[in-house]
Amino acid sequence: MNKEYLKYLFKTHRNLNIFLLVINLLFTMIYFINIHDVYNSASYFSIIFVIVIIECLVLPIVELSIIQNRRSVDMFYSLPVKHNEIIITTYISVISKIYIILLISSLPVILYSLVHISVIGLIGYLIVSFLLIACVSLFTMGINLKCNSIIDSFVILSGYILMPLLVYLVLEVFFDYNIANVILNFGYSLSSFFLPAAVYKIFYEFASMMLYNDSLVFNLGDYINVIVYTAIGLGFTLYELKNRKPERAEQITDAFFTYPLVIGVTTLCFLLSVMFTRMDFKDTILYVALTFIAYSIMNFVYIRKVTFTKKSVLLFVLAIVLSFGAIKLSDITDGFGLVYSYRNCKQIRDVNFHASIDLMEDDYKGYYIESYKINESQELIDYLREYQDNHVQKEHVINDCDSCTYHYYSYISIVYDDSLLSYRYSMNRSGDDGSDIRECFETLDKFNDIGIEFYCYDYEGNGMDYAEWKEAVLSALDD
Amino acid sequence: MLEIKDICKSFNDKEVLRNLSLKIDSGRIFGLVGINGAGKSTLLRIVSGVYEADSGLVLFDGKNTRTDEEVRRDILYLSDDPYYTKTSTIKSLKEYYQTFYNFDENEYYRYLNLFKLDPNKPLINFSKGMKRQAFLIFAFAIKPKLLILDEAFDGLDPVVRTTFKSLLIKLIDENSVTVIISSHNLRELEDICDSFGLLDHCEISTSGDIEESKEMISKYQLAFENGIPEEIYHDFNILHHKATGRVLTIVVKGNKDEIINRLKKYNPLMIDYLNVDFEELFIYEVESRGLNNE
Repeated sequence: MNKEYLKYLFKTHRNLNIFLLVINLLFTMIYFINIHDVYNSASYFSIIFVIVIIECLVLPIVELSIIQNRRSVDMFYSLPVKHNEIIITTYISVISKIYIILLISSLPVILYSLVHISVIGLIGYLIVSFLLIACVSLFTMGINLKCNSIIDSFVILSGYILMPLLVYLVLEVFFDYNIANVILNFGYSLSSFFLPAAVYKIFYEFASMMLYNDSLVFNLGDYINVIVYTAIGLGFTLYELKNRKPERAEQITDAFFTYPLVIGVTTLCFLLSVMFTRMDFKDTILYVALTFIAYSIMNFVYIRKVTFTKKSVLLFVLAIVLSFGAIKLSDITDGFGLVYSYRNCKQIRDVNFHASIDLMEDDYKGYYIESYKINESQELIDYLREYQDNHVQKEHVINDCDSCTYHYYSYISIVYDDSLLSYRYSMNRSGDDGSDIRECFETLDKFNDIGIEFYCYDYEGNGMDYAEWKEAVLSALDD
Repeated sequence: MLEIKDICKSFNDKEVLRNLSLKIDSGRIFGLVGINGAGKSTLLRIVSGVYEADSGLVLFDGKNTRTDEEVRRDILYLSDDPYYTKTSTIKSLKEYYQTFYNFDENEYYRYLNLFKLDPNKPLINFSKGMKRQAFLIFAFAIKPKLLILDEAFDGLDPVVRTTFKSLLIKLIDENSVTVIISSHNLRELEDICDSFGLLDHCEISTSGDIEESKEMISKYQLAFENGIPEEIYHDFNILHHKATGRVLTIVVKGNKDEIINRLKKYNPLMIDYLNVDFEELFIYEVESRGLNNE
């Protein structure tokens, strides 16, 4: 770190620092105005953490933009300061500024609540908030060092934050619509895939622990998320500290881990989502065309001109081939072997059954049944294994028959304690004769015998027991 | 002293500088000239430590300007388009320079008054020439041991240019400052520089004292009674020639007296000797290198 440069940064960004402090203190003031609101502390920290996260994602880019402009590179790189020290000092300036402002603005709130605050909670909050600021800012800085303009930095940063969500979407679509009849259940919330949400949640947990003496709710996914992004930021930073050349300023950002990766992953995710939903040919072509338009727009942002090169078209075609290949491979391997992997019944956390039967008459009637029960029965497991072998559909049946008498949809879902996945065996049919519904009742009768509890209700929300419900459905079918 | 040793630099496989070596003694004003895209700014950026050469060394007073950041405290680089933000003023830039360099406030105010610039007015509202003046104020206030000026005279009106030249000479005399100036305004460079280097095809093709170099190149106009003898083109190191009827104009490299004696052997009706200025020197050198490379 260079002290002279640090001094210069604080002097030159004086107005910005004051502005950020004023914004934060404004919310502190609002807190004290609404002091009697029971949710006041929660609201205050919610807003402050959002501001902090935005600062961590914006300030490193803004303050280190001098390396991305030729004129400023000439000026700053000729200073009697090591080039790496400019970068490191800027990073230290950013994190200390954000942290100090957070402390100054939250200190009155903490002091006011001092009587109720746990010391361990306070220490935890102070340490974790600094670490989170340091980690997110490091990630932002790493991305910024890879890019050659401010716009590119923000675009690539957004890409990296959104990419896990896209991957999650693809997995959801794959499991939901495709071949394995298995739904995604990582056991972690979606926030684990979205950095700002993960950071916010961790911030909030420690603030709650401090203020309300709550026990810490540890969501491993959130911490893994932050650790992964920090590692990315650290890796990029260390690499660029060694290899970044000042003459890259204002050049096209074409490093592999920037536009090429983001565009490639995004396009592949879009195409996989399209393919996995198994639309008819016309719709597939339409969505592939829309994906190509999105791909072209991304390339325009990348190269800053409208151009179709052989390479870009070939890459898109390759992505189509890969996504098509992925489905075929999944078909051949029965969902990459995911379908037939029962666990020991002791690991079952939950089994539930759901069916909805919609009778398409002049006056619409629908019947719904659900069960929620924890069951460790070996008898259940054996039955489910047999059920799977005989009843599971390997291909999705499109439920869009207009002339059918009924639409019937059911699934059995099993959630295991330690699994990232839950298994859902779904059937989705349309028909006229009711044979598959009657077949369904064989399963339901068996479950009933095993002791699974059902909750049944009709389209008006009227609850009924299983026997009544079965009679109502069969009677409607016969009518 | 500034020593540039075997500097090589390429951008994306395009060679810009190749085994470039140069020595500039302290207290000299060195003019760096070359056609557009020759690599002048790249060389100046390497000397000032902004860019890193692919190979080679730049030493100022024995210290590496790239790796030894302390030596850069004695080097000031003013690029052709210095950086400032929308809200930058002379006053705010003064804070910047004061933080990193030895700054003489008295000199700063002296030149501020001399150029009559408002220190609180945003630089973005200054004319091109006024911006140049503003940055020159800092150069004079800092009094670096090595001053690098890229496109020094660009945008300056004749009065300011004259003032600037006299101030520069004073700066050198009083402080033994070494100055490297690059400019396309060769007439101005000729007035102020005592040595020069011509950057052409990735190398310093010609360098040395300006006056001595000018003396090594001379222009002659000859008239012949029976047409221009062909042998004349092969007998001399001709940088440029133009024939109009029986009148030949040639620019030749070499000793003046010797050349005149040799020209007399062709029995011209008349030999006129014409002076060559720095701009012509540049043009003829570049042209001849271009022809040689063809």
